Amino acid sequence: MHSAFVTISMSMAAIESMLEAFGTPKRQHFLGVIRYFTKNLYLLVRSFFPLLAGLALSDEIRNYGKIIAIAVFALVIVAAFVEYWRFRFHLDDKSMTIQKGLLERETINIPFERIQALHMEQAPWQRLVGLTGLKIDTAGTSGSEVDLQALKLAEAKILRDGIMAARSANVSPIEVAKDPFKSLVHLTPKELLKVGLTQNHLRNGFIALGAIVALYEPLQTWVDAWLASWPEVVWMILKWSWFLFIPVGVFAFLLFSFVLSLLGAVFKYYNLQANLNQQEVSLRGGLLKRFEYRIPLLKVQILEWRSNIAKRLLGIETLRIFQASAQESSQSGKDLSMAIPGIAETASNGLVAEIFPSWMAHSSKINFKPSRFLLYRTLFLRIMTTAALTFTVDSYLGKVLIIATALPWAFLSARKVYENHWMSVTPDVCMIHSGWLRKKRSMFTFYQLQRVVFNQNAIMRKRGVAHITLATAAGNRTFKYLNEADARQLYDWSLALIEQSESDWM
Amino acid sequence: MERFENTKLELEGLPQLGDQDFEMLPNRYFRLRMWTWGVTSLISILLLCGAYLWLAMESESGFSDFPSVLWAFLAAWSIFLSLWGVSEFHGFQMRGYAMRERDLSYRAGFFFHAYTTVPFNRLQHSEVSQGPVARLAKLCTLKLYTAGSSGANLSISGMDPVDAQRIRDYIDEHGGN
Repeated sequence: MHSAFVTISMSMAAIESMLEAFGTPKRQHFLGVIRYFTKNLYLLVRSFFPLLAGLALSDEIRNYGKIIAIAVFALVIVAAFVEYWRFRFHLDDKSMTIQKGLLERETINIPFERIQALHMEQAPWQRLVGLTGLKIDTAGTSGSEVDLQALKLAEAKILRDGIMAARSANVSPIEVAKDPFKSLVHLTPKELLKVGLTQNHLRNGFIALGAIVALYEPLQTWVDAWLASWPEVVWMILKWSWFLFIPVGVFAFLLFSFVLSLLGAVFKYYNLQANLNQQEVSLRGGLLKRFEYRIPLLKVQILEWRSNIAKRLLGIETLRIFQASAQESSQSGKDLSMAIPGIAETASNGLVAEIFPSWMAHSSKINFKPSRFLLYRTLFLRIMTTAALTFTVDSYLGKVLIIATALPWAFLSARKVYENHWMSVTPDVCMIHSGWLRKKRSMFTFYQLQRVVFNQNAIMRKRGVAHITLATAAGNRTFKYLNEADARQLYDWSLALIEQSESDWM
Repeated sequence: MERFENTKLELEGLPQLGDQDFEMLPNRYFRLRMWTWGVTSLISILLLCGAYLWLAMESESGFSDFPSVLWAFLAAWSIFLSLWGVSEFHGFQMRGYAMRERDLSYRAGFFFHAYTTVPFNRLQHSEVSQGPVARLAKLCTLKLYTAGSSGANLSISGMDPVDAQRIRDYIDEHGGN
């Protein structure tokens, strides 16, 4: 009781200091001009790129190049100043109001309860001048995502804490007192090494290889000149012993991919800390570009864990937390989600207990297994692939070798895929498992669903098998190849729960 | 933080969405679909045959050294058209909507059958649209939108405008949060 009171007075203090600082319309830090300048310049260059390329080739226009460049620069600078000057924002205890617009004036009002998440991101240039960016994601059809790029760090923190406090005060007036926070993940150098080691090295390597090939085109003349400077002897050796270099090349590629993904992990996840606070999950870290994300627990729609063999051996998984996304943002392929790498099982369980308390309470869960149709279908497809492979080789020995390796693999993998595809359900929470070598499980509540879809093709109808898709506001999850009776039951069950629920779904 | 809690659900008492709940769409929509199929098939086959004849007349040896790819394409196109016809003809009985107290369902498809249910308490907004052909046939499309994805999540084409309006009125009265 006492600590609950303390929590409320703390959040009141946060709201008050926010109102004090941002009660009247206010501009961002003056250096925000830089941000507008670079943004506008980038937009200009990107949209007129073909034109610019054409201009560079034309002699007549190139003579005026300096004048044009100066004019464009002046224009962009003036626009940046005006845009900076026009952008003003202020807050009251219910909403945030923004006035902006270069030519047309626009006033946006964002009620706090529509705010999904607050992200703080600090790029290197911002860190140099002691500023930070604050991104405010909203759910709604008007796509009003707010991006404040130049706030003083202290100001941004006041703003963030104030909004969070005001938002939760609107949503639920009484907070339940708990420990200040639980640590979910803290990537110390050792833990970071684990995350780096267990990444998908091959994918990273191929992406890098692709980049190198793409870069070869423009640099071709230089590369050719450099190759031509090699002595004749080297070519002679290469001509006769190129096959000796294959294992070396493969090894070099593997090492290269490995180092690359390790470096990538260090840059991205340096000193990453994920905490479970009273009402939200927070995540911060990063080496050059620092970020700080917060997701309120009430806004979580889906939890999804992914792991590969290496990750499972080290006892870690990658957790992705999905929030409801506005229609606009999902159209651009971007969903509101937050990835926490290297999370251990105990931390995951702590989070699940907080977000889906009834999951832990129900000791007996109902499991749905897919129909055996899935097993036969996977097996059939893999055997067909094996057959197709045997036609690609001419030699008899090759055919035998392919059959001897691919056929047992087909049987084993089909069996494993079938065994690892299942669904575990309590009356209100659902967890879908899939994948064998790369495992994936996602978890969500039935009452947060938006709609339910049942589908089957003609063959599946004959065999009494169906897919069921459960759609949340943060994306769809499909369970494939269920027995039709189970699928129908699950369908009716989900609908009954959605329609009975009085709770707010986001 | 206490989230949604629910007592154990009795499976026996669950309302079930069954085939008997579904209503068929008006018969003139069936005729419209069959006409669309017929006209498209006829025109495309005529055009193809014309083009092939013209090609044969142009070349000296007529049909004899016609590339087999072209014949394969003709065969594939005819198979596609006949499958489309079958799915239109037999699929119409499998097409329909079910209006219940708290949700609206729609099912369609012969080779690929699917049904979708949108509960009214998750509805964001609804829309009725009508193209020129649909206006002539006195049909319309009812679209329901929920959160979490772009585009309509439930789109029932070939509805009687009166029925569509009735459903919208019902949603306005009873649905929503």
